Amino acid sequence: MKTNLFNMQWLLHLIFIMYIAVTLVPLLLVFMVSITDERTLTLKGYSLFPEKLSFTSYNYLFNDSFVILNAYGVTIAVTVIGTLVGLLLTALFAYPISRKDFPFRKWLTLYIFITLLFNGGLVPWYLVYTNLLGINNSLVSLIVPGLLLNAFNIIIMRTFFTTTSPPALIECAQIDGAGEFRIFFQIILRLSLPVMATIGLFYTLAYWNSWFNSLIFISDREKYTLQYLLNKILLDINFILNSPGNTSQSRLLSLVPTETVRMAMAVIGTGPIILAYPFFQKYIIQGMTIGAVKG
Amino acid sequence: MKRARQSIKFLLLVFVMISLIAGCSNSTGNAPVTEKPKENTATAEPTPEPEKKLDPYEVVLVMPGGPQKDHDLVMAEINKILTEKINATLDLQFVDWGAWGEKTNLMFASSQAFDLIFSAGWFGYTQSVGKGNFLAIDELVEKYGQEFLNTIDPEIVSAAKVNGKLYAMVANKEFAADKGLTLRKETVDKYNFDLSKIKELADMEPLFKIIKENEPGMVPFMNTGGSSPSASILDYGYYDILGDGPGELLRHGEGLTVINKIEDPKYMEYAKLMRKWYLAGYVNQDAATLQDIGKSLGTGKTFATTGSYKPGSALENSRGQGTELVEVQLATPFTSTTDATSALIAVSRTSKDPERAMMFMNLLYSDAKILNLILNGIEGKHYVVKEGNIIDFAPGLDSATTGYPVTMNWMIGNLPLTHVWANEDPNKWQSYIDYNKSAEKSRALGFTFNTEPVKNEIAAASNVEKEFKYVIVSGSVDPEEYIPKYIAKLKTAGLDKIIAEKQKQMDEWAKTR
Repeated sequence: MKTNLFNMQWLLHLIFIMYIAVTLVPLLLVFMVSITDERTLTLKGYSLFPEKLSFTSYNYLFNDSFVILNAYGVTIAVTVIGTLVGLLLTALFAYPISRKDFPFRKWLTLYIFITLLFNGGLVPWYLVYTNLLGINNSLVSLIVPGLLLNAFNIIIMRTFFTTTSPPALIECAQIDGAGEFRIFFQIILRLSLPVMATIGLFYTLAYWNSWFNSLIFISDREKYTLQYLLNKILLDINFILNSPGNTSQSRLLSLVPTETVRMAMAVIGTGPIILAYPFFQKYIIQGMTIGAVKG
Repeated sequence: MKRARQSIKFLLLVFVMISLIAGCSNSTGNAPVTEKPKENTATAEPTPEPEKKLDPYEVVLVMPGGPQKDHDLVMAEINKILTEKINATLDLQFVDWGAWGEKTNLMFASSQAFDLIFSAGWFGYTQSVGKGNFLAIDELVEKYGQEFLNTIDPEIVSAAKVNGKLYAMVANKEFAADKGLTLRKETVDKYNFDLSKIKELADMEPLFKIIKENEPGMVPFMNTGGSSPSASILDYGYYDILGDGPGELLRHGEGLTVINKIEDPKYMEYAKLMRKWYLAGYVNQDAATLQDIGKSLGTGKTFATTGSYKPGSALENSRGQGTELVEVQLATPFTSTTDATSALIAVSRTSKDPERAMMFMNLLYSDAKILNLILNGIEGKHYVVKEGNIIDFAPGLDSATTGYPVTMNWMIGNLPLTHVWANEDPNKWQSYIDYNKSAEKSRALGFTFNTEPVKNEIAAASNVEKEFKYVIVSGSVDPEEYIPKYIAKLKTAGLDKIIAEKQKQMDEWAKTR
């Protein structure tokens, strides 16, 4: 009986080791390709153990390409500002509509819910931000449109507030003389760390991975985000190869970065965000059931 | 409770106020780019049209691609000259190739102000004209664009006409292409292949056989769906594909009858040949899905590919691949509307001053200094003159380290005005001119197909095409079985209607000629 259990344990270990391998090997492969010698790569294809290593692609990215470091800075700035402001706004919206004694809570919930289901379409959306607000080609356009306030996150947070902060708690605080600001910032938010961390991670990831706003609003290279730079290479290659009758195909293809440089960019693009996971992890586990019960 | 309510109301009010204020301040803070104040000297030199002094203006030119490191420096130089000549400055903006369609559509939809924009026959030119995005420029060119008209062959100028009206200016470069195969010279020499005997694609078979038997690890004939013999030799060397959608014209022959190339015996012949080679292992097995052959010629993984040529292309490609290449011509130079319109500049309907935009374009066909600045950068900083018209990178720079790499030297203006780089054929421009003269012009040169009446059918046909085209042309399936299936499916998608429409437009076009 004992040996049997022991075997089971090993089987489970084995399954999970294989699972980890399946998830890690592609990442590792991307890294190995990025440090493979260009010539070896075209001759032998992708390999985890390349014959000849070369760091020219990283050298190129960090020394010769002014764009990538810039994009790094932009992405970090946008992610930090966007996450903090987004989190604050989300909490500020979610808290009132979680309060049963707030008169407009149903209307506001409905209002935010509608934005989840419908949107105005791309062209009006673009018109509002460029012609009405005039924020195109600025960092604001990377932070605000489509990303800053997410209705889904508001609803998750509202549910969390209603379940963890019962009206009695708020009443107690009021009896003790706390004003609304004190209740919100010092009691509710402190009690809601798990949800803040979870939603914070959502925003961080959304901002870190966002490229669409760059595509639509940004025309200065200095304001591109990192992910857009990556995406652009794919879009460009795809476009060049799929335009029939393009008599200048070979001229254009010579502008596309080489395979190793593409992989090196992917490695650099994933870099810091991987570090964000362990930081958020403990809260995520606590917050597993957030949003499980909606209502 | 009441207090709580009031403070929430107050909070809401503050929130609304803040967002209002933020909205307003943003909209006033960002006036359109064209209204930027400009410093310019009051003493403008007499211009080609010197009757009255021109107001300062910023010409906005939108090109695909990306700006270079030294973009601003070069612009400052250009603007010095432009201010003097037409009291204007240039704002050269870039949109990435891959984002072009989406972004320019939004720019037009929001009526963003800009003057000039790149387009091309293969790059949605007729569609943009159809949408009304470009201004008809016949009169403008007459008035302000004489240099353009003097430079370009009238037949080529009118290739950019849609429904009898001119909407764009072609860049002066090669207007034709010849098609064939690119081979590794090293391997050709090793086996002493006699290339003068190759007249037809089928003549390559013995060569491929030798490579297959003697060179393990080398693919005799590397193909992708888009660069198969059918796509690159037949489509642009044997047929004139007459714009989007099915319906082609035979290059050799007479009359203007639109045919369906898939039913043409030549198409079947090529497909069968590819099938044979595919089964014999001469063609790479992933040809139908491979996207890009990369540098496989240079590294010796490939012996041959198909290619599209112009004067100096062997040299250019050899440099790109890093090994010497030879070209085998299978289709002689041919000018179709697609070739003639491979780089265009159109005037946007959102232009605030189309006349000034045209004056600027006129300079690009007459003023070597401005064109050289835009294309090659600043003399002494980015390049140095070696002798005569030949230039090379400034000392200490190469193509990777220069702050202004050359990327646009095929897209705009009167290119023979510009310098020739030391690694290019010194007689590049003259050979372009001769080449253009030597090229056979398509009987349908100048015909552009307006896809609007049959756009649903074309979309359906292109879906069918995705399913069949690449597998047939790469030899992955048996053409005897699949080509009839392909034709049947195309007919269901509306093939006959598209061809009838093309024929109708062709007949109308022939009348106006």
